[in-house]
Amino acid sequence: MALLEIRNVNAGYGKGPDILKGLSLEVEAGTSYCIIGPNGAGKSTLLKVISGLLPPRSGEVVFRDVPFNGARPDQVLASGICFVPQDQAVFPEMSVKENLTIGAYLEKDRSVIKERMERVFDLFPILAERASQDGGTMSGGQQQMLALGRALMIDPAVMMLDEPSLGLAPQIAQQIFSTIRELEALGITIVMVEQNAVRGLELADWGVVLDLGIVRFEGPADTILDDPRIRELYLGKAVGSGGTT
Amino acid sequence: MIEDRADAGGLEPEVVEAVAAPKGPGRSRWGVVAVLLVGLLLLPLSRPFIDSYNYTVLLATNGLMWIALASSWNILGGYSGYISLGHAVFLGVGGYVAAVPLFYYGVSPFLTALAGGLAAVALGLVAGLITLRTRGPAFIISTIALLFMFLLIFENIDYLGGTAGLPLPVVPISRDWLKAPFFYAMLIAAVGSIVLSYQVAHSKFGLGLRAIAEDETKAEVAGVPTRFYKIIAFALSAFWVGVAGAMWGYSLAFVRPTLFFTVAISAQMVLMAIIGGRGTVAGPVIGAVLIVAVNEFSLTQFGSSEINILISGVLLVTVLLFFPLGIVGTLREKRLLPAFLDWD
Repeated sequence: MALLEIRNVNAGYGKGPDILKGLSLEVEAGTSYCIIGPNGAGKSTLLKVISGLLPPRSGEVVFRDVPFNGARPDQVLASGICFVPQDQAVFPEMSVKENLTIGAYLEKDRSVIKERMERVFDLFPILAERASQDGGTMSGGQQQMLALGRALMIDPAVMMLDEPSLGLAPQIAQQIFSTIRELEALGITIVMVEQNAVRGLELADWGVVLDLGIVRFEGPADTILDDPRIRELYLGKAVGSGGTT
Repeated sequence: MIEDRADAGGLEPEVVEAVAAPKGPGRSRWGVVAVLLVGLLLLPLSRPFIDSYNYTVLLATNGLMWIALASSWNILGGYSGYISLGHAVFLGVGGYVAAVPLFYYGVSPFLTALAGGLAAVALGLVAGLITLRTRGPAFIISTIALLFMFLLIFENIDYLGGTAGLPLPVVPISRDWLKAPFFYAMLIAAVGSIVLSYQVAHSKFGLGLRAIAEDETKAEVAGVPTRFYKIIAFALSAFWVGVAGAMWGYSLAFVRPTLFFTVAISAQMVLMAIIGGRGTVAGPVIGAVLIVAVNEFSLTQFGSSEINILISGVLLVTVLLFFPLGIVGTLREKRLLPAFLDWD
């Protein structure tokens, strides 16, 4: 049984048309997923639906065999799915430490919070160094690390990342990607949307191609990378040169 | 001190204490507070030594009341960023809850002040449930609407005296000491609201409110129960305003709808908190003292013209020009805040 199942979901914004049109996807524990697809395919919308920020119009999201049925974001988070949104995922006027504390908001046990903060500081020594600095005064890469660190504070089973490399210099993006690899090693199931499709697919175990609100293809990430049709349609010229960075 | 706020955010009581009582400057801060408190406690007993005793005590009582109001307002408006212009409603509800039993049954407001506070909390919960469905300007307008609604309702209930209100008997003690009980009551309200504000600032709840002020959606995604927190903040910020209202009406010996339910009183709380520093513990206190002092100065210098309003306006503009985050907020950002004012 899959860890997380999206069953036949329709979703859209306001009175607008459906962005997701009967989308179904199964997410297995311990596998990392990279979702790619053209603009408007519904990648970010899918993550918003799973995280509870956007209630689906029909269909359901099932996590560990329990359907969410319109759960609020904090309830989704409490169940072990966290979401790192595309930009500005940190609180700029709070210190690094406060940002991390907010991340563990749902955890009551202080010693557990302390342990997790230690783990985050081990993973990102720069955050320990800057513990008292305001989040907004750090560089883009550091803020992204803080965003990942904050997400880790809830000790999630599934971590959803919306374009983790957006707006970062290539070397910094590389750093973030290697951090994501470490998160995988920690046993966290990663579901990531990535503009830099080639990088994302190289990192992930499983590739999912979204187009016009449904899953167009899915398969092992290297197969997706090598598939000439997909290369032509969704990966563009970047494939040959090994990356757009 | 700022860097320790995450720890103090309800995680480690030991750290809170470490913040509250560090070596050096911290000790002087508590020294200042202790001296101030003892001085205030002794003030009403100074009758034999001060010529302008009544005036001094009355002015101090007034200052303490505004400290209580501004500090309370700050719990919602400062920490969570929701600007309420309806907080005068709680003052009025507290005032009437104490005035009615006094007028009809002779029950002393010193006994019912707490009930006034609790009634304000109950109203805060209900009003919060409704008004906090909105954000930003819509929220501000809905709180003003709340105020006018209460003005209308109270003016039309004969039992409450309608537009004329209710006259109240004076406290049955010697004229010489008439001012003292109100002074002590307002002192309790002021200290109580500062302590409440401090507790909120140093709790997980307070951290959640600050997250809401920064970005409500992000706070929600982080797991902060935003709606619940906002309503609780609204209710908490009503309590000491209600208590102060009960005392205020009694001290004036009458209650009347237009005395309490005015935007001017609400706006004064906002003004004080903003000038002193929204979202800080000490800010509203400093703002209240400053504005009360300036008002009093202009009243004694220029008589009861409206010139004090002009001066307040000029003060607001000037302060915000040089202290965009309020006095305490800006001084802290520039690391110039004297330790005895750093209560966060």
